[in-house]
Amino acid sequence: MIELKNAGKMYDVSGRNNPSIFSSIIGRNNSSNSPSLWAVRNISLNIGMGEFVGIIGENGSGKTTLLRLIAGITKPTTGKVRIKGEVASLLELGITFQPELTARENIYLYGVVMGLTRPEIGDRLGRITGLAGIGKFLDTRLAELSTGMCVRLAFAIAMHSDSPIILIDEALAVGDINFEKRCMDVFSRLRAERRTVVIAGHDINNIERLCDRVALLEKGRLVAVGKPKKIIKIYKRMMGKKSERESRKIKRYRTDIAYFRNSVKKGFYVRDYFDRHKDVTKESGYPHYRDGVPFEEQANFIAEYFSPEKALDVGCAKGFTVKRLRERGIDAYGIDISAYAVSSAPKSVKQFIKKADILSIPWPDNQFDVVSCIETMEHLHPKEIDKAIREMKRVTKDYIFLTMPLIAGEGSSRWRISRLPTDSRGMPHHGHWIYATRRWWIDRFREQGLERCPEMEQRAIRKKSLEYPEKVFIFRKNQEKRQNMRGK
Amino acid sequence: MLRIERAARDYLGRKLDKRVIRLIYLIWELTTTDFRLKYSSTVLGFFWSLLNPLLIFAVLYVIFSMFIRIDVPQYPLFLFLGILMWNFFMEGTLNGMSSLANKPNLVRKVNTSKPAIVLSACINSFMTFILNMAVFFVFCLVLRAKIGLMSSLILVMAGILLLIILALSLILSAYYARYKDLKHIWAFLLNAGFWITPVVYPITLVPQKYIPLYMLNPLARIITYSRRAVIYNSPPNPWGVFALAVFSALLLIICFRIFRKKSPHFADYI
Repeated sequence: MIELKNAGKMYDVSGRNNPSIFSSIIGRNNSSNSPSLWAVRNISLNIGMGEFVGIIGENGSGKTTLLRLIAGITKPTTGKVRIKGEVASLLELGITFQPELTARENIYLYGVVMGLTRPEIGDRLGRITGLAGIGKFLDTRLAELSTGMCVRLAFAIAMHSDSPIILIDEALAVGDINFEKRCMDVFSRLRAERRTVVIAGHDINNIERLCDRVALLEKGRLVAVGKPKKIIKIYKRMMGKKSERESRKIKRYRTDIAYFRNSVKKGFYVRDYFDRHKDVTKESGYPHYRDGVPFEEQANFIAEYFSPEKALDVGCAKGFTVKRLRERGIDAYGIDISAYAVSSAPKSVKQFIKKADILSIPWPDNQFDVVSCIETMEHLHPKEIDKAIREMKRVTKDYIFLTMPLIAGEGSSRWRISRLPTDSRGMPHHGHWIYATRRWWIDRFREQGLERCPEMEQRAIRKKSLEYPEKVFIFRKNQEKRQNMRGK
Repeated sequence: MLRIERAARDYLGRKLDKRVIRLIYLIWELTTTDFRLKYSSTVLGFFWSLLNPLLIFAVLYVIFSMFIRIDVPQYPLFLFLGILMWNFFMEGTLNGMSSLANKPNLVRKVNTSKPAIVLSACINSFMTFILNMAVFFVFCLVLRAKIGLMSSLILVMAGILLLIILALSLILSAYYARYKDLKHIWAFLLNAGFWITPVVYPITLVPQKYIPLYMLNPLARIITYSRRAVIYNSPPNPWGVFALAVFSALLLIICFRIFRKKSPHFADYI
């Protein structure tokens, strides 16, 4: 019987765990400031007699440390480990093997270490060599046997120990199909003898086949315990998610896809990144905006240059600009993709802010005098940009006001892509941001039939009324109409 | 009476027997394996363990019987026995000290009895000592020394020496697991010990007023008593032998306690 209660094991990873007497005298090895690592932490697990338990988890998740605790090789730093009965541990195969000695001598030595006596080993010699398949080589020096033979031999000896508890670490994938079949026979014998077996490793198929219960470790913590099928499913999903995330990182589309959850089923990422992990929103390009000067500037700019009656802020975050605009008597609204941002908006503007997607702005056509889109477009997926522009064009009566980060090489028609990673369309990307030249952005808008207002942009740039005036873009929906009005 | 005996046997058979027998087999297997490995792929094999003290003996004998004359009856036997016992002590403690560190797999990968590992190293040295003693007795025959019943006392002395070696090995190996400096310190202490122990010279050369202090060295007592018993066939002071036995037993108990206290951390350090 194995009983773990809040067991934890901490290792000193300062690289100084072999200090000299000298250093310990002068007190350099002060453990209080040396970095430490919890290999396993807070593990509570009961394993009954005759149970087959698997332990799975990725590399470095603490499987081996857990086995070492159960084997009694190390003592837990915290918590308790109680074991009833002797333990045969196979953390590594053939630990006492001496290449200079014969196979027979090695069998005796290893068997004794595994808790057998000499006569007992003598009785089982035939079965051991049979399982390992090295009957002919009993009196050959071990150095002359193949590595596979040695490993099989070690496994065979350990499987014939009498200990009621057997711990196996990554030892199942050591032989061919025949050997595996023989191993399965041995395991069924162990099961019949009501031995407790704990298997740790990556060999999910064998673990699923053999074990009654499986424990899943992640970063030293016990994540789940239960029926093999269920736990392995969780494990696979966990690993899959991890690799998916990795590949996203490489493509640097993570946040874009997070924004446009249509491309991700069930909206997992949106919820995960924006609602639960607040610090992740920062990483995903969604800083925690605090109410402050930039919003004042933006609101002033919009009020002064466009003097709108009704305005929409796309990507309004917590709606600080909307709040300022409302203070200036403008009927302002805002949308943002992040439920977290919308829910944490100030009370006074909460009712005017909606959680909505830039790709489907929830208003009918021609509603707003100005649509402002501040530091938002660059977060889009490159393929979504055209649609977003069309959508903004649809809801605005007149102006679209944008700021966007630019890459160096202002005005050039060519990409500066040499140092930036690119996507499949050759679009330079940096992190989750689209970096483009001014010209490229303007071309995008022109393609959608929008015209620039250079004189207004120039005025903004000259007056420096915004924090980064060179990023300002102002587009007009209907140039002719405006000119006609002015003509009148 | 019979019932008690049977009950006792049953109890031992069930509870103690199995574990103790396993431990004995483990120690035996470790010892013999070490013995085999030590002389594997050498031409002279285990004769090296005989040759080594013989060579030292030859060198020291030449020096101390020709250059610096030490006037002791039966000096060759006197010197040889001293060297053998000192060698046993030196090798035993050195082997014992590094026994755990030399078998990291046994400490880190399985939960073997750690005292057994140290003990097997000591027994290994003891086996060498016994073989050497056989050579010594052949020497005695060659030199026509009188070997009486009294020489069997050498077994008692060797046993006491083994206890002391085991005790020192336990505590040294416990600290050697953590502090590898110990190897150098202990090598120095052994070097110094060689000269403050009557290996090459008789105790009569020590000034009379320092004798009580000098005899605090248990090895000095062991070697002196052994010589008296084996070479000169005179009984050693029984109280001295008794004190030695008590001392070594106490030392072993203390060292074993410390070893037990330290042993849970070996796997983290080795």
